[in-house]
Amino acid sequence: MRRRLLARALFACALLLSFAPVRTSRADAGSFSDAEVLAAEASTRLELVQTRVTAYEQKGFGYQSQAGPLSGPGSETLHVLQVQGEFVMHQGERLTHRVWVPVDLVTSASANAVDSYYAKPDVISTASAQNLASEIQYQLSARADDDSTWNAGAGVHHEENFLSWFYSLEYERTLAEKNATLSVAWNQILDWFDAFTLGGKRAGRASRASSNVNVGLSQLLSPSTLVGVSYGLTLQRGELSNTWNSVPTAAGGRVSESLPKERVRHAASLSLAQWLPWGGALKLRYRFYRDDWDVSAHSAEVELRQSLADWLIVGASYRYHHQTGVSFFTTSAPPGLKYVTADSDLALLFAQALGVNAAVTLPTASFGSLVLSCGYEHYFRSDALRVNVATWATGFHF
Amino acid sequence: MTDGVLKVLAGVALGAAGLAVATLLGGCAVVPQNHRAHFADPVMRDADDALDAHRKRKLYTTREAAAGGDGKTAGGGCSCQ
Repeated sequence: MRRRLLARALFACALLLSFAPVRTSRADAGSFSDAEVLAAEASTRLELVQTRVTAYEQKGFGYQSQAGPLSGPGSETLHVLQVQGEFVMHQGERLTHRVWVPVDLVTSASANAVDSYYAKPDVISTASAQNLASEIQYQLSARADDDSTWNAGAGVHHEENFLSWFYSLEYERTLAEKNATLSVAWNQILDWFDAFTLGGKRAGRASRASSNVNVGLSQLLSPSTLVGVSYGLTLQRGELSNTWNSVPTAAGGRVSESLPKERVRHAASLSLAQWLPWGGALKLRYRFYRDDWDVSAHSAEVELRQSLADWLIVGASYRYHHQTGVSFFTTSAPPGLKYVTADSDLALLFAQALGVNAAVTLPTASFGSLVLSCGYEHYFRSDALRVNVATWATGFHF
Repeated sequence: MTDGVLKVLAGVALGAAGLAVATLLGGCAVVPQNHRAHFADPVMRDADDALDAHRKRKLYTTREAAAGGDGKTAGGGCSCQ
């Protein structure tokens, strides 16, 4: 199993490294004539190449997990190693290409479904042994004129028991001498995945579709103040459970989670960014959320960034989140309920997150600016779930 | 937190949003191009690290019942509701 997992991780790294020739082709440009080089420089230009590695360590307990006593709660222990790569390239004056490849190496997050080393998936003792999730997304930005830009994106996500397709289309228009920007976006996701019984046997395939419309408006209020508002409406249909979540019953057993087949979600946010005269910036954000499963949520975030030198920026952030639970949440289900869940993510809770980060920018002779950044974030919830997140990134900004 | 407090917070939020929209639509003082240097300061940039934004969004949306409103879809993908 470990060798198989290692092989997959190496494959994922190879996929990331396969984009390296993008830079090499420029370095080899000496074999072309000066005119060809100048023409190529005018038509395509690499703007950004960066990678980010993030490690998550989660500890906690939830009644949906079977990794514990029959009446719960079970373990939600989880480790994730996430590798992301991003490439941004301009083609001419109007087109921008962005390729983004996140790869997640996950333990104990989702069912280990098709691994041939196991006769059946493990959805009980450790939720899953190990899993590898990979994704690739592409976005094309086309500037129609001086004020209008179209962004179109597509992508695919794959993990052992799960396939997902993405599509997005966005229109951005600047207004009032570029003092304001209006954006309208449509996102579509289609998920197709294995369904499981509580014992870990496959129960056919399931699917869900998520359709989303977002409207956003940002406005310069002064030479140092930027505000923005946005609203998003999402309609989801299909199997909205992961199918292996369980619910303890009042009789001392467990039943499968059962969720409504439709969900309508509204979210509105308000943000403010203020430049500070001592080389800093203050960013505030508030978000209100409401859906037809009776969840209301408030999230507030404050971030401070400070430039300590031309090459060094440090930052700190705090986030508070409060949500009501879904109306059918229970940790001891009576018989006969149509909808029931014990998923701790759907319960009444509040969560806080504290983060710090630093970024160093170093000019290089031939690769633009080298940007190195690192950060740490501690996320903790009222139900004792804890997540430690460490992240570091390396990138070249040309 | 009680329902009453939530309603008050929701009212404050809606009021703030309404005020912001009114401000935006009311035609604020135009900031000339040559007075926008502060927005180019690296400390003000938001979008220069989409990868960090992604990992943050995933941390929150996979552990909470509320998502969306930030230009991305709420739910879907990665076995999340």
